[in-house]
Amino acid sequence: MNQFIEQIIYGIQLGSIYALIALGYTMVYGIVKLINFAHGDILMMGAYFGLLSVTLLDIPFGLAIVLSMAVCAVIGMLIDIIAYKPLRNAPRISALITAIGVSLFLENIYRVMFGAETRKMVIPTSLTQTIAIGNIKISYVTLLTVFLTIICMVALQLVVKKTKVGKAMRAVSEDQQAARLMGVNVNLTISMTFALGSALAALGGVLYSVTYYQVEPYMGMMPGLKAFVAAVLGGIGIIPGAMFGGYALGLIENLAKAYVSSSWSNAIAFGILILILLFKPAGLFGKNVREKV
Amino acid sequence: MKKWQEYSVTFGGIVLLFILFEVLMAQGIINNYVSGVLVLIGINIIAAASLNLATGYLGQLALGHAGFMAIGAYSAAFVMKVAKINGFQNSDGIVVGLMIVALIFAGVMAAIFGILIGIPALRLRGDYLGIVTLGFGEIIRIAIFNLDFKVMGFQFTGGARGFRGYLGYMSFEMIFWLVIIVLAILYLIIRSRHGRAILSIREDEIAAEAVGVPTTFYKIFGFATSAFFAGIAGGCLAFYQKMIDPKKFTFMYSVEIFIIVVLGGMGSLTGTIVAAIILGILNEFLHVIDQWRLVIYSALLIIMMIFRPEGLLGSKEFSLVGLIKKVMGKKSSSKSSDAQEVK
Amino acid sequence: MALLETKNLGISFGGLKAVDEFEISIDNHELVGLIGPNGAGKTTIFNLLTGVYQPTQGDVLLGGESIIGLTPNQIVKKGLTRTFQNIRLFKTLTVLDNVKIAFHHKMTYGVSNSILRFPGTKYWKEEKQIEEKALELLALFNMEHQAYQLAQNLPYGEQRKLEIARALAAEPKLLLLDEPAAGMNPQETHELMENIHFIRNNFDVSILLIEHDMKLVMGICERLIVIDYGMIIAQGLPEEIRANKKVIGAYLGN
Repeated sequence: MNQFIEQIIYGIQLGSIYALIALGYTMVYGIVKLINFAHGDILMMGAYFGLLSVTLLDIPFGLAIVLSMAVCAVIGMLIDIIAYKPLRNAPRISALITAIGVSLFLENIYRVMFGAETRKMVIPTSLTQTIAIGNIKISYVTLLTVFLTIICMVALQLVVKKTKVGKAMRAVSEDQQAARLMGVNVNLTISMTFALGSALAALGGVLYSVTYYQVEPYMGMMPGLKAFVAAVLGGIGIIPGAMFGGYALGLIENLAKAYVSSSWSNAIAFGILILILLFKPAGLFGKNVREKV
Repeated sequence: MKKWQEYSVTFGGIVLLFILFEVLMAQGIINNYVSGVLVLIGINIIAAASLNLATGYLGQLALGHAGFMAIGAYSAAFVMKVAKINGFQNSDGIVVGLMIVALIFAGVMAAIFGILIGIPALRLRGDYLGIVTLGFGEIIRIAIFNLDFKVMGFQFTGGARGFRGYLGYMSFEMIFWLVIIVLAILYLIIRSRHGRAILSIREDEIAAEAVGVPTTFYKIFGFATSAFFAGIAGGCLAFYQKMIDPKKFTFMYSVEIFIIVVLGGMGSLTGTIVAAIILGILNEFLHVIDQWRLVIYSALLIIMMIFRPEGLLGSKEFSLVGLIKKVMGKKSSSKSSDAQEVK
Repeated sequence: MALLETKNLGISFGGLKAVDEFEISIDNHELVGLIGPNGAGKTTIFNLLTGVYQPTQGDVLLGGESIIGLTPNQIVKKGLTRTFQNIRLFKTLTVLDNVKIAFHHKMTYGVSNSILRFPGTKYWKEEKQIEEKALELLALFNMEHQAYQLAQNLPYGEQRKLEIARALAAEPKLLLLDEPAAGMNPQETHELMENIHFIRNNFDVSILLIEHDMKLVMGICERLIVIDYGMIIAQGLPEEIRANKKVIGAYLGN
């Protein structure tokens, strides 16, 4: 029983990270209808920036997270402006291929810069301690991850629902042309979306590297893909859907690892994706829209 | 010119090219090392041309091509392993025949998987299909790692250690004619009523359906055919490398094949050949700075998409007959479906 | 027996009845117009007839045979083709190939014959046949000189014409035209009217067309069906419809 509860807790921890990344996928998809393949690599960069700011700049862990989020937000905007913006009116397949290109580029340029070897994440010793509730031990990392994720989600909801920027985002994802005619600065809004999504991914990256103690150039690939699965699970383009999908996938993955087979757990994640797309292509929270004839 | 004359001219051209290669090899200008590179380029041409059918002609984004190649590689190697257990040897004359059987088996197995994944997945739109095929490719890879059980006295996939100890080899001559056969089959399918049906789906699925094209059938047919030849490419790779490393068939490998298609031009077999050769040669030069190789590729891909999304050749095809007509100053007056590609 | 008959045909989207109790009958060689205000459900009716949507009630009989549950391509084989409101051509293929594709279901040679093209086999015969037929059809529309151009390079009016030619290539008994004159200037519209007349007189085909251009509709249709809010509000000769109070009400808002 204790083991089961612990697995659930780890599942929530992993799910939080997936949810953070899935949010970025879903926001970007909602606004420019692009699967931003490079999103997983923002996570990787976030982890590197976190590591570098702790080791090179020697700043506190909390500040490192903020710095990493800020830098990744800027990089996210730059990626959009350099690689995606020229293709705004191109066929969707071109934009998607570009996204794959950006992803490969980031992974390999980081490999060139920092080497292919896995670096050990530096974490404050205070975070490695655990607290015990009854027989169940929970590490501070877990608590921090869950806590920060919830704060970010609430903050994101507030931004999207209550602020002018959020209103502009919703307007642009609804109808870009109409939003432009209503005086919304579409390009700025899209940039803001990339910035927000990237900042969340960076946070996810730092937390991921803290959880698994490692930083390497290809680390973003798998969690990126799985976060995409999470976003699709919830219905891509729908923010609460991404949160739900992230937690669901984290739980499923951890339980599968513990009780089915750890070597098949990734296959199970992809199997779920395929099943959802076949039976409910718009995701659990999405509505089916058919092409207008 | 009559149709059969055009076909003869093209075939003659191919034979001349083959003789040229043979002469260069006999002279030692093409040494063993270079011919090895050529075999790899040939395998990439088959893999990319088959992907081009699904992505360039049928218009379906497929990101799991390495998965089909893996199925082909293991299937072909399986046949040859069984042959070895039954006492055959590489020096036996019959091995070439066995290899042909193994390659067909590899193609059929990959095509079966293509149909199984295609029937449900092809109902999805472009980017979702891409993700499903990607996920499928990963599942195949994970399955290979895990299906390491004993069968007929040997380990089925060999797991992470890889699969080895099977018969088979791949010479330049063999890959040359295989490439020609595969390209010819793809070309002839594309330039037929079946190919037109496939193209119409890429152009506008709803309109295709509205003029009587059974789109579901042709999507699955195109996808399965693509998988079939991917399986053959995988089989060739298994024969050439003499051992299968499951770590080869990652998403990254799918993307490398995909890059060949995109650079060459989606919807151009000539483009695929050109891009496979360029990247094959580039690979050799970038070997020394291997870590920069993928940086350069990916940058190339992004730049290409922004400035020339149709690829090097767009949807144009090179035609020897067309070239001859041009050189002889004749405007191609017989504008039948096969002579259209004259540009 | 009527060529096309619908019985109590209807469809609802999420409880909203987009088309309801739609009953019409079209005979051989008729030219019927389907009109109604924007959003009345005209294109939805086309989508129901061609199998793009599955109706939630009623039946569609083509030549006395129900076509409910068939896929669009199967319905084409039964003899019903259409054009689209927003032109749907195979843009980066040639004009000739656009037409050839519509002959697809009339051809029979298999995949192996496309690869092994031995002299005298079906491949050669059928390819030659449809090449001739396609060029002939294009010639009827004065488009044979454009046969090797890409469809996307044609002027707008010509694209509309090509779409109609392509729909005819499938040799339908009933042709559905969805706003064929949309976006055309008066000169092009006039030409289109002549073309539709021409088709009616030279092909063995009935035509059902949706159109907003009243001059065109009144000018060529023998009979009109008016719908509003998914239901038929009037049927009859053009002059009857012109005087119908309900119709005037629907268009002007009463």
